[in-house]
Parts: sequence; structure tokens; C-alpha cells
Amino acid sequence: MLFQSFEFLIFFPIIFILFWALNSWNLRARNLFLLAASYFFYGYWDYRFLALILFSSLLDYTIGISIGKTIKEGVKKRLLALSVIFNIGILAYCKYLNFFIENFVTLLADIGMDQDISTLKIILPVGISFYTFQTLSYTIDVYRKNIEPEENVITFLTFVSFFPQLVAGPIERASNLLGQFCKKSEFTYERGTEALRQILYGLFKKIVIADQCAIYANQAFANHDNLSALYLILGAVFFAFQIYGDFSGYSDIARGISRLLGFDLMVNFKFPYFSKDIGEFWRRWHISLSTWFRDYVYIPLGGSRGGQWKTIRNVLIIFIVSGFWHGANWTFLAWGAIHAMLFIPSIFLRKKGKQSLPDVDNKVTLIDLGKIFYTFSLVCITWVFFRADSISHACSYIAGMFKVESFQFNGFYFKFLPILTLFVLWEWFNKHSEFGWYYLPKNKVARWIVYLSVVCTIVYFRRDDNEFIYFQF
Amino acid sequence: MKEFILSVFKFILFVGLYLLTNMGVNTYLNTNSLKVNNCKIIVIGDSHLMTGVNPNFADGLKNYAQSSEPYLASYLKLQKLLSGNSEISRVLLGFGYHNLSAYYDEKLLTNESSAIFNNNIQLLSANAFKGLDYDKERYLNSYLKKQCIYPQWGKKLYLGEFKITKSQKLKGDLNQTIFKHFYKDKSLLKFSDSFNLYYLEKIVNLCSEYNVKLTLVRTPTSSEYSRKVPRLYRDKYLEVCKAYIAQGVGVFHARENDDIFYYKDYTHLSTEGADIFTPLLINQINSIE
Repeated sequence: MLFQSFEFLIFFPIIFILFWALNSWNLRARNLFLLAASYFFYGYWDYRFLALILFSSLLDYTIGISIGKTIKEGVKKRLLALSVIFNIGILAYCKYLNFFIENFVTLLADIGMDQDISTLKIILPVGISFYTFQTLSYTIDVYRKNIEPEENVITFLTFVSFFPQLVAGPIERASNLLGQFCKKSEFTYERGTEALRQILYGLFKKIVIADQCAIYANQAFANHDNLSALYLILGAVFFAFQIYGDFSGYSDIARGISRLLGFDLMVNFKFPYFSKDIGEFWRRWHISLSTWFRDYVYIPLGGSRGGQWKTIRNVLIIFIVSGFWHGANWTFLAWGAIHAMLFIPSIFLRKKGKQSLPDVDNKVTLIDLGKIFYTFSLVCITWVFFRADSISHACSYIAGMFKVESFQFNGFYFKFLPILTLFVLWEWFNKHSEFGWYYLPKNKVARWIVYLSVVCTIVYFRRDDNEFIYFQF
Repeated sequence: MKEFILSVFKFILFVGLYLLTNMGVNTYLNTNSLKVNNCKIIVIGDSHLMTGVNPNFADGLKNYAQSSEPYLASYLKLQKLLSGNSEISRVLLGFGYHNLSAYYDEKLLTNESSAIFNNNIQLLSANAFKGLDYDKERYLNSYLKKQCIYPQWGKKLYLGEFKITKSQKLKGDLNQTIFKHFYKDKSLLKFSDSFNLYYLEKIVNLCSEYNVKLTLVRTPTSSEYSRKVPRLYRDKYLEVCKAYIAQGVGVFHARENDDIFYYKDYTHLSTEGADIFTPLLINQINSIE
């Protein structure tokens, strides 16, 4: 069930009313209802994978309890290892097995040992990369004694399967979300309206920006051989906004829906395309994933404590693993590796006390704008690897972006640019808000007219067949 | 909570009223027949006629064909045009092999239906699909998008126009086109008896009711395509043509495997091709008259 579908338009109001009715009555019943709703939401795609999510959650629940009860460090470690092996194992089987088989066969063929090994028909369960990381973080946090293990199985299952963020994040931490299932939610008028605004903005980003940019990006990537440099550059820019609109739009909707139910999810995007360097970009883009890798991979590996070379190694590892997390393709690995290469210089240049996320200032100098433009250009080039079908496709696309040849006007690629420009300006002027609604008219009627215009724009641009990109991860 | 729900309800009402007002206006704008100036011969049909008949070759010839137009839409469009323009004396209707198959029936269920709904939503009320299987969500989406957001003053979405296209060297997967037109899951598509052929019959009756001459036109297709059209469809085409000729309907198609034309792709004439085909078509009509 997609957030922008008619089904969800029926599903959610029912959930909203029943949730609040149960919330004031009985917490356990509320959570049980939320669990059933989440499983229904997930099962609506493919009910067969409900067993997998249930089994995975129960295993981590049991391991969490066992770690909490055990005193012996060795046993705790073994239990943690079991959780890691199981979660990563499931992910590896569903997502990466065929990739390894194919590459193994190619490798054998390259050394003259042709093998007739066929790949398996494995369907990738929606959201598996997200919920396995969420349950993994829980077990690790319990092991590290950052949190207490959850005793109530219903609470834990609801935490793992909470439908707004189940299929595409944000990847929540138990320390933030789990506790919210243990107390009654509170509703205020302001929170409700704020949530609706966030949902509306998320839908706008997904339907108007991402889905429209997808049309132009798809054209450019499919016909890159016949297009001149300008259109290939535009194609990369369109893809940059497609993926931003798609994913941050999803996060906004997920956070808005959660907020309507009284839950606060973590911020996942903070206007990443206004970053002045790659390091800042990664502190603003898919924050729940980058902090996950920081806390559960980078820091355990030693972080920046072992000198610059070790830091570089650790950075390389997390970026490559992060790239691979997105999908079983060399293009994602390349995408991660290139980001690592772009990030590494900042390790040498970094000054102490400058690592916190700077505000995107209203008073920017020309130099700042130059930095933003430079960072955005680099990010766009890396997106080509993310979007391309293969490394050779990406290389030939990028080569095309820099080739000098006669220019032929093609109006198709300019059609959506005015709306995209307005969107960028809108984000720029609203960047001090949590999401893009900083400036709103004080007058209620005027405000409603603004909302109505956004609703109409969404209806006008709505297409029926566009899933969120991150569902495939 | 009560205040919030009331507020949301009021906002929904506000949005609903706005959409309903536009819907009402757009419905009203399309209730009447359509008056067009200097129109004696009209061309209707799908993309084959849209690219294949150049209206500049005859005075009073208007090409209103549109991509992905099933006969249901052609019929409703024709109703509006004939009732408003008594000077229309002839209708040129696209009629190729693919119009016989359930190709358009299938289209109503796929994402390609969006084009049909978007182009013809001013004609297609939900009642028009009575007894037919169609993608209701896409229909609703098109309806909201085209009828409810703003008043379409003077805009007739269902009126297509001649499309200028470049000649191209024929390339790409011909089998894909053949498969799309005549097959589903590796078996031959059925004839579209309850949809396209049913509305073809209604178009014939409508023209006869208004005393307007009807000519079924098959634009040339590449010889590679023509050769691959299943036998069953060729036979059916001849059978339908014969039956309509007997009723006084004209039929015109260029000779098959005639390589004098230029193409945009395997099944569509380019403008260069249309410039050769249209005079042939006009001459034929004139010679009959």
C-alpha cells in the first residue's frame, strides 16, 4: 500500500480514529491494534513475508531478553553474534546471493572455467534492509547496555513493524522509538496540523518533484548515447531531485503520519543539497542510515581514534558498505567508494570543533554559494553511478556530460525546470523549518488557499504507477 | 482532538467544494454539441490517422485523430461533432488490423489507459464503460486531474490534431509491436466484439443517421509489419470490410508491400509519408463523389 494511493486514503483515517479510541482506553489493546494494522499494511504487498518479519522480530526479542538476563560476557557475545549472523544472513540471502553467484560465475569464466550455475529466483521482501537494521541496532544497544531489553512482546513487535516507517525508514533506534510504545500518546491540535502540513509537503515532494523529475531522468539515462552534454547534465540534476524528492518525501510522510498517531520519528533529511562540502552533505542526507553506520560500524572499527590512516580505512569501509546496502550492484559500490574518496580530504582538513552540523545561513556569501554549487555538482556526478544500470553505463554517461559538441535544442528537458527552480527557491527560503513550511500566511483563509493549491498541484501531477525508489532497497 | 477533526472536516469540505465546482463547470461546458468552422471532412481515429493524414491537402479537411483512441471515444466525439456541424459531409475513420483485436480492451486495464482517459475524459462518463472492465483508479485519477482542478474554458481535450513526425530508418523490435497489437501471453488476442467492433457498428449507424458518408481508412504500414499480421486478422479485416461495403461504407487502404511511403516507425507514416498518402486518399474520395 503506497502512501499516495487511494487505498491508503481509506486505510489511514480508520486507523487514526480507532487508534485514538484505543489509546484512551487501554495501552496494550492500542499496541496490539497498531501491530495488526502494521502487519495488514505490510501484508498488503505480499503476505508471505509477514512470517519472515515476525520470525526476525521474535528472534531479536528473545535474544534481547536473554542478553539482559545473562551475566556471562561470553554468552552475551554469542547471543549478539547469533542476532548479527541471522539478520545479516537473511539480508545477504535475499539481497546479495544472486549478485555473488553471478560474479563468481563471471570470475570463473574469466579464468577459463565456464560453469553452468544458475541464479535463484529470490523475491526481495519490501523494507528488509530497513527493519533488519532496526532490529540489529536494538540487539546491539541491549548488548551495550544503552537500553533495557523490552519485556513486552507486543510492544517489541510493534516497534519493529510500525507501519509509517516499516518499508523505507527512517531506521529508528530503540532508544528513541521503543519507549514511545510504552506510554499513551498525547494529541494536541498544533501537533496534528503540523503533521498534516508535513504529510502534504512530503506528498508534494514525491508526486510533483520526484515523479516528474523521473520522467526526464529516465529519458536521459535511456538515451544517453544520443544526447548532448547539456541534456545529460540536466538528466543527472533531475535524478538528484528525483531521489531527494522521493526519499525525503517518504520520510516526511512517514514522520507526519507517526506524528498524527502521537509518535516522533527522527529527522532523516536536512536540506542536503545546500551543503557546502561532502561531509556536511552526509550529515544532512539519510541521517538515520549514516548515523547507524557511524554508531554500529565506524565507531566499533575505531572511528577516528587510531590516526589518519585508520580513519581513512574506516571511512572507506562504511561508505562502501553503505553503498552496498542500497543494492547488489557494482554501481552502488562505486557510488559509495566515490563518496568515500570525496569525503577523505575533509579528514585532513578538519578543524577541531567544526564537526557539528552548521546552520544553512540566510546570509550566504558568494563563496558559500560557490561551495554549495560545487558540492551539488559532485553529488550529481556520483548519482550517475547510483542510477546507471552498470559501471560502463555510468562511465559513458559521465563521459557524455563532458563532451564538447554542437548543441541541438531539445525543449523536452526544459519543460519542468521552472517548477524545479521554484521548488529549490522554496526550500531555500524555508530551510530554517524542520521541513518546507516556514513561511505561511497568518490569515486562515489565505493559508487554506495555499494548502488547496498544493493539493490541486498534487492531484494534477499524480501518476498511478510510481513506487518509492527506496522500497527496492 | 474534536477541534482538530472538525478543522480537517472543514478543510476537506473546502477542497471538495472547490473540486465539485470545477467539475460542474467542466461538465456544463461539455454538455452541448461542438461547433467547428469550415469543416466538411473530418478525420478521426488513433495515432495512425493522426500522423498519416495531412489536413493541408484539402479545404475543409480537419484531422481530429488522437493517439490511443478507441472507437468508444471516436463515437462520442463524432456524436458531438455531427450534432453541431451540419456541413460535415464525410468522416474518415481509421480502421487497421489492430482495431479488430482486443488491443484496446486490454489497454483499458493497463497503465496505457491513462492516455485514453486523459485525452477523452470530457467525453467518457463512468456510464460509458458500462459492462466493460477498466482501470477505475486510473479513470478516477484522470477525472480529478482533468475535470476538477480548473475550468477548461474552450479546451477540448478530445480533439486531436495532425502530428508532424520525421521519417526514420525502421529499427527497434517489430515483434514487440506485433505482440502488442495481436497477442496476449503468447496466444492470439480475441476480436474486440464487445468494445471496438461494437462501437464501430455504432459509428456506422451514427453516420447513416446524420446522412454522412463514412470511409474506413487503413494507413500504410511497413511491409515487414504487414507480413507479420496474423492470418486470422487479415481474414477478419476483409470480412468486416466486405460487410460494410455492402452497407455503403467506403473503404480505402494503400496497396500492401508498396514501398513508396516514408515511416516514423513500422506502423506509422511520417509527415513525408502522409504527404504522399493524403493526396491518394483525397483523390479516391473525389473520384467516388
